Amino acid sequence: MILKKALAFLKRDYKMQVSYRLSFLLQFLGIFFSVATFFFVSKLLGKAVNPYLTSYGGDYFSYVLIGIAFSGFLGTGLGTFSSTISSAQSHGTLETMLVTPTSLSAIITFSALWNFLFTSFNVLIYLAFGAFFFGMDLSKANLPAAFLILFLTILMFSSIGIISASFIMVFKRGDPINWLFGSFSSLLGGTYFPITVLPAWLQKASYFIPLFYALRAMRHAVLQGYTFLMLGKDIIILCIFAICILPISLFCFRFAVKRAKIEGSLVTY
Amino acid sequence: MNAIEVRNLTKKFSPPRGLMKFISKSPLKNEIVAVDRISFAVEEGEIFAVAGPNGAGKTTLIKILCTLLFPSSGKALVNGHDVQTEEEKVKASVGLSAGEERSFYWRLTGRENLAFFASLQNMPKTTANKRITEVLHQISLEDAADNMFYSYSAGMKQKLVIGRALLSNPKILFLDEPTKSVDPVTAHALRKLIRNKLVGEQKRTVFLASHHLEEVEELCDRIAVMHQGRITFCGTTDDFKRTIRSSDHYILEVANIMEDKLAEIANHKNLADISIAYVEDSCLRLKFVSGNGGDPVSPLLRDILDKGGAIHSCIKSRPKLEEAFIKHLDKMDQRANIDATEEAQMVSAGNIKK
Repeated sequence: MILKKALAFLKRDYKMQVSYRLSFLLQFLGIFFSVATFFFVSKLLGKAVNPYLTSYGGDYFSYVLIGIAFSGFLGTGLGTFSSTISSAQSHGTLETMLVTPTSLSAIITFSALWNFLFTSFNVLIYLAFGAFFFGMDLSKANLPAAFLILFLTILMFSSIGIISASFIMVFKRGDPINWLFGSFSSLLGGTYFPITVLPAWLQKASYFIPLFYALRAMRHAVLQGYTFLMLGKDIIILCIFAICILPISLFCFRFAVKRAKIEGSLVTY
Repeated sequence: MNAIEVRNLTKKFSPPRGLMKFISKSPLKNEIVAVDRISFAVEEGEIFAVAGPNGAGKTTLIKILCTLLFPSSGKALVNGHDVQTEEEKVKASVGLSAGEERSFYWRLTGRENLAFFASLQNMPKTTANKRITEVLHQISLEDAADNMFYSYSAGMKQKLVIGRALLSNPKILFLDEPTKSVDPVTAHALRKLIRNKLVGEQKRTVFLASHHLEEVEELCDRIAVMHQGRITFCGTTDDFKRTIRSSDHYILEVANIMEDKLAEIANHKNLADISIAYVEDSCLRLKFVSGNGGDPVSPLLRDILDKGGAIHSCIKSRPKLEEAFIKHLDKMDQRANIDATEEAQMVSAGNIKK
């Protein structure tokens, strides 16, 4: 029954997404232009940036493409749960869903599925464009390791996203978690540049950013084909982040739902 | 077993305190008691209405009964299950039609919308498809079922709101303003569906919140009137009308008599709210109100006939629920004002004593 419900949410979101066909197609065209732009930026930078990128194979184009593609999961994880709640509140569908025998946690989890699936699809498109049109080398990729890292990344970012959704449920707007993680991750997570270019004291701050470990491990697995053993340290750190954040997120969410039901603000926005 | 049983139910909304007061701007300045120690029971298969002015607490009550809100104190049982401790069982026995036309996915068809909401009801796919077809037939929306929801008229949207509430085949239906924003023909069809099909044939219990008192009068067995969170009357609609000393309204159509003559006769009979107007060239319509009891009509008719007039028709209109409702609320407002004044006097007397 759970699987059927999850599929119903996916079907709903797919149908709505493809009903805006032009926007659906333009999104892929946008990815192509983004990949092309970074390809030419990397040509401009040439070999000058190679010393900073030796552990990733020395190629800026491959480095930044993995960064952009996979940091999409951060955006989706952080934003999708809270936007799901806000949108269902403003459209008036949340109240109707809540009177069914489906829990609020199931509603927001299943509502996020399509966004995660779509982000995964986008990542594939990024990599496909990179490989077919701009010569990105994916021949060494350790796919099982990449999938494990992806799973841990989604789990971790989703947990942060659920904390963010809890804030939205109580405060409606102005969610500090999303702002905090979003801002610091884009600066210190290593999406566009390796953290070694940062001042030493700022590099230390990167070690508290989950995105940094996720991207480092993903680049090593996809571009360099690192084994599970070689990726062990990053995988363990990602597991620790996930183990710590998940229970906090569930606690925050239960607290927010209870508070909203007492205050009567569950369906206000 | 009662379908719904409410005992001493209270819901208070408090303004935020401490840090929350600083962070979140709340419209509440003081504590509001939205539902104040109310008790009532609804029998199985009954159509029960809750009526009251805006802000009386009707929607809050429905939300508590549908598990969308926690009560502050008291107990509410729906289909024998506690709304606080047996949330899932309550949800499995109720359907809510909240009158919210926009609460659908506009870029899905009516059928796709119903299929999505049916999937949340733990229904196997074959049962869900069968149920969707049944519901679409009940709400007469089969022909438009595969059109996009955004192309629906207000009446069709409202029908789909009711259809969605029926998907799970619930024992108890909560209908909040079910005929809001629909034309009289659709409203009549919806009322017929509720009265004949849902309650008459299918023996469901209907809990209705409505401002539309003609609808309440037409549909409901019993009514609870809410005012400032309290139930100020609970009983049959006829009993409710009897709680006020109502005036009788008459409409008389006469011919062969001059307007001033008719006015003179009417004025001599101690009638109130007299109005006279021509309905046709030679026919006058006399409207009046008599609150004195007795028979005000026979002497009036006799006098008109004596003066050579001809009676075309004479109609006595029964007091309407709306009239009783307005008078009841006026009385409640007056009582609340008296209570507030007495309380203020007692406080000020206490201060002087000190």
